[in-house]
Amino acid sequence: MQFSTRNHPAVLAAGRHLLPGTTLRADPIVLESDDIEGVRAFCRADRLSGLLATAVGDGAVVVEDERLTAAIVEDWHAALEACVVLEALLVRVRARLDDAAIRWMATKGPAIAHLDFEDPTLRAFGDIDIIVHPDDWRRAIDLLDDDALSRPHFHHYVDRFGKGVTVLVDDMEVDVHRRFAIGRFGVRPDMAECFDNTTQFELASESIPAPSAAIRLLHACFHATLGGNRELRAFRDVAQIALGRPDAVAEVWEIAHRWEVESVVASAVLEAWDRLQLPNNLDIAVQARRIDINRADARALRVFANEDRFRRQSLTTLGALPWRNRPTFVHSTWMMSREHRR
Amino acid sequence: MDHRRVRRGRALWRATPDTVVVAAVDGRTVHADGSAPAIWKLLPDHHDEPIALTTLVEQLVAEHGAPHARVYDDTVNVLEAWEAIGCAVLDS
Repeated sequence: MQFSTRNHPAVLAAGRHLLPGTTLRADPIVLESDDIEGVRAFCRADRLSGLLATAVGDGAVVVEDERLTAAIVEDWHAALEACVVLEALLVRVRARLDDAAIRWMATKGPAIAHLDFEDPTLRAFGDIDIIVHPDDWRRAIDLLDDDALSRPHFHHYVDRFGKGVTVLVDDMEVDVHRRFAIGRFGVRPDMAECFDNTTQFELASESIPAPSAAIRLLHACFHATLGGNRELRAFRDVAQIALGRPDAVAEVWEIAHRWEVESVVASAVLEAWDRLQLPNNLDIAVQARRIDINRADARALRVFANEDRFRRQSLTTLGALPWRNRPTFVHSTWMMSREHRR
Repeated sequence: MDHRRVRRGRALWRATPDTVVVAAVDGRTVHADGSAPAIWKLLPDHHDEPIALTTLVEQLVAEHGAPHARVYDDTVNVLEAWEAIGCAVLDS
C-alpha cells in the first residue's frame, strides 16, 4: 500500500467520520478522480469502505463523478455481504462450542460492530475472532483444529505463552485467541478474568457472548499497538470504544494497571489520537500522556511497532516471566521451532 | 386477496438505505436493492407475531406512494427469495 494513499485526507476523513461524542468540524475533502482507485483499495483492505461511503453520502468527502461514487458504495455493499456470511459462520461455531460446553466469547469485528457502533454497517470485518476460556482451551482446539494432533508442540507453546491459532471452519478462517497478543504484554493479562463480566449481542435469534466494553477496549488497544496490519481501522476501534463508552475508560485503566499493560493502552490511545487528529484535551488522551512507560516496556513496544519477526516478538516474553518459568518458555519455543522445521 | 402472513426467519442481515443483504445460518445470501430494505425493515422479527402480507403492502404503498400492484409484486418477489433461503416465513 502506498504511503501517500494511507495518509490521503479522504482516508483520514473516513476514519474520523461519525466518531461518537465529538464534534469534529472540517472542510469537505475533495477526492480527485485520479486518487479514487488508491483510496478505494486502501479502504477495502482496511475495512473502511462503509465509513468512506457514508462520508461521501454526508458530504464530508466530495466525489464529483457519480459513477465513482457508485463504485465506492458498491465496495461497501460487498463488504456487508462478507460480514453476514462471516456472522453466519459465527452462529455455526457457536453451536459447536456450546454443544461441547466450552466457554468462549466473540471479540473484535462482529462484537465491535454490534456493541460499539450505532450502525453495524459501518464496521466491516474480514474474519471471525473468538476468545476461549483458558480452562477450556485444549478441548476447543481438539474440537476446532483438524491439525491439532500433528503439531502438539505448537499447541503447547500457544497454551502456555501464545496468542492463539487460526483454524478453518467450513473453509473460512476463525482466529481462536488464547491471549490478546504474544510476547511481554500478552502473558500478563488474566484471561480467565475476562470471563467474569461479559455481555452479549444477538445474531440470527441466538445470543452471542462478548467481552465487556472495558475488555473490548483493552483488546482493541492490544491490536492497535501489538497486532499486524496496524492501519487506521485498528485505531478507529480504539477511539470508537473509548469515546462511545466513557464508563469503560476508567475500568480499562484500572485493569491495565493491575495487569501491567498500561503502556499498551497509553501507546494505542496516543497513536489513535495522533493518526485520527483528535483533540488532545479529551480525558483519555490526557490520562495516556501521564503514563510513564519504563525502558523495558518501551523496548518491547518498539519490537512490535517495527513489526519485527515472530521470534523477536515472542522473545519479549522472557522479561515478563518469573525466573522459574523461563526455562519452560525457552524449551517450548525450541520444540515448536523443531516441529515447524520438520 | 392474498391471506398470507409474514415475518423474518433466522437471519443475519445488514441494511443501508439502498440495499439489504440477508444471510441464512448456512451462509446462503440474498442481496436486494430498491424497495427491499424498506420491506425488510417492516418485517416482524423471527420471535414476533407475523403480519398480514396485505398490511405490509399497504404500509409500503402509504410510505412510498408507488402503485399498489407494483409494490405487491416487488414485495412477493423479494419475500419468496428470502423464504427460499429460510430468512423469511410466509404462512398461509
